[in-house]
Amino acid sequence: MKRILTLILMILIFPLILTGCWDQKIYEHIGFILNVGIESSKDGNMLITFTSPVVGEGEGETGVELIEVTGGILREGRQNARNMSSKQLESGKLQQFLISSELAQKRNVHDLIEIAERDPILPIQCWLVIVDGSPNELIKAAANLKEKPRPAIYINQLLENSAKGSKIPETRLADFNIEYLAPGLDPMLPLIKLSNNQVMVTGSALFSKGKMTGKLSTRQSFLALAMMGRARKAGFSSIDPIFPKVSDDGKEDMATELRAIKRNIKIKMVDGEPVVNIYINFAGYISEYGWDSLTDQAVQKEIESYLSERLKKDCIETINILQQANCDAIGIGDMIRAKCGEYWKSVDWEDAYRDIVIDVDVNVDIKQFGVID
Amino acid sequence: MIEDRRNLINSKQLMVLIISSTAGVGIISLPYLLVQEVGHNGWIAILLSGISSMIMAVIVFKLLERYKNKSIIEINLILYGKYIGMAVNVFYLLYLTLKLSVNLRIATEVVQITVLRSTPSIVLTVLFFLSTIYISWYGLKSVCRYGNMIFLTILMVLVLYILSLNKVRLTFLLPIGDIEIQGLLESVKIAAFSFLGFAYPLAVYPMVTDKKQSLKYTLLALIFSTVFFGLTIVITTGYFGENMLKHMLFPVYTLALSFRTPIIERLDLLFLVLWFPAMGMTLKGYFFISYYWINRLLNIKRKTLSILLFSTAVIIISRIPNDYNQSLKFLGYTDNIGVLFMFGMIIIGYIMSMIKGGHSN
Repeated sequence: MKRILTLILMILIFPLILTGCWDQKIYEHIGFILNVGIESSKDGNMLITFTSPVVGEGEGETGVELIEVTGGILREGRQNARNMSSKQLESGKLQQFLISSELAQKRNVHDLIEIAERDPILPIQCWLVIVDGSPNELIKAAANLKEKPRPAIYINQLLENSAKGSKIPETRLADFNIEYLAPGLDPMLPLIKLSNNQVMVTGSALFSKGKMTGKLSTRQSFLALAMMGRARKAGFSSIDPIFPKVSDDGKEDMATELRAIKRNIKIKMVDGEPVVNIYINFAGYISEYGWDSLTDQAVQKEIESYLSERLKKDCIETINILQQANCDAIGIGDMIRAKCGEYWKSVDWEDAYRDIVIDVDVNVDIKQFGVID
Repeated sequence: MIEDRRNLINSKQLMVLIISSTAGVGIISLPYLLVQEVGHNGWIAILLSGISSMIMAVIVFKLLERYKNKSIIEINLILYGKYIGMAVNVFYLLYLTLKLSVNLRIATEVVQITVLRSTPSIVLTVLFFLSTIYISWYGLKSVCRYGNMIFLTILMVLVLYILSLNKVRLTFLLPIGDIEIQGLLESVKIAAFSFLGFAYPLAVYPMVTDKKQSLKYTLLALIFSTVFFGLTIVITTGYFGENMLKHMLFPVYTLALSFRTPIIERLDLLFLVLWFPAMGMTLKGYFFISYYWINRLLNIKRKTLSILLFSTAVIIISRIPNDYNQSLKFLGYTDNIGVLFMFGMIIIGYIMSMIKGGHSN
């Protein structure tokens, strides 16, 4: 009898305490924020643009609710957006933060997006992207591209494919904060823009002390990633003037698919100053050239040597841009801190970085040239 | 005194008890706490603490072997006499109860901060504690059997570590050893809080059936914990860098948050599903020993009443800190006194036993 009473009591009590209704969120009532665009507004605040998919009959695969609000901080922006949306806007499925280059040059991005690290609901693996121009205009244009998926999905696929091809760095929000806070290391973010009503990746935005200080083209981004040791799996299509010229058919360029299969950085102290040597070995195959002659070993060697020289020159140019932007994306400072502690403690790396000597050695191995000679 | 069969365990189960009781809550904030003191050299503190705990385990067994089939409660009474011995036992009990209560609060806060933000904390506390009470009710053997689940959690964490390896920068762990001695000592003390597993045999020794093997398995458990904690520190420091780590309350959870995987978009939620029971395991170990000691100390026969009263007391004490921050501080104070006392009393006890030279059967 006692057991039965206890059982009845438990059956009565447990449904009351196990309903867990405090935190329940009904799917139909939620508006999933997929994009957040941030730029300066005319009133001195930020113009924040949110997109949320509209799901319903006749909406198809492209319908989005676009909300523009202004606010001093991101949470204020979401609060204002919630006042305008019929659904409870939530950021758990956020795909990208799109920040205008103008705002990124003015404000510390690390501080701007602090909310994403603080609130565990926000996915810190979302993309952090710099827009050359207005994110608001870019999102609106992307939303109007009816033949493309919703803006967030479209931009996501574009970014992922570009990152796979090493045209842009795959720097997610979490990576940005790690690289920002690590001494002797600076982040690089993907850079996109609106071009002829299409979204286009244009390379990388460079950062120093959390602010954007420069940019790289897609080719320079690939070389920077190769020097960072982050282009091992990617095949980048390098377009270079054709060499040696095989015919007078007017063809000016050739294409080579490159992978940076090996990267080695050596730092030695010469007269109390660090001298850095970066060695990169590219493996590649020629994907477009001209008819005849690639079976000739001598021609292959000539192309390898020519490409090595060109890539070395471009690498040095890329390093110069990085040094001018005071962006130590390669992490040379981090290596010096780890290995040359006394020197590291004796200098202000922000100042010293611009002036250190960085040399590059490049070797290109052509592994294949397709199925014609 | 004849032990209840449901409390009898073998040495392997003792090992599981030690691992499951230390890994659960211990790992949550350990990297965050260590990095504040020794930056990227936290693994050195883990290594030193691990070695000290193994030395302490050997001393514990030397002491226990002198008084066959007796737990520290009876040994204290023999060593220090009725009154001082009882005072020492009460202090042990108070320490365990406080530690259990604060750990319960910390576990509750972690659930609330990460997932159930709107659910009242007291509801989470009660729900979290129900399984602890239920399993402890069935004795130490059930606690140890449930503790096996920790290996599933650890396996999941190891997979997470393997996934994160390609983003671990070895430079974040260099240069090795540029630490101030004061910081190192402080960090060893913090890490020692996670290695209190060596003290479990003090409480459960009479319940271990194959006593000859128990030192071996206790040492294995401590080696396992040292490697696991060390790996956790190395991976989290190498992944986030010491400056980022200084900002992270739950670094292993944030590590799970940082991954994108196909199909499972939010790996962090899967991590939490497996981690919550692991946190519960720490509580189960402390709870069982505390309430078992109360019964032994006060010679209580009505188990139901004592378990209900003790659970209520623990829940009430767990409500004293206002929030997570205060709970961590509370735990710090408790451990500062408790660990020093525990280390001190074990060493003093061993010396006393040598002086008295008494063996008891």
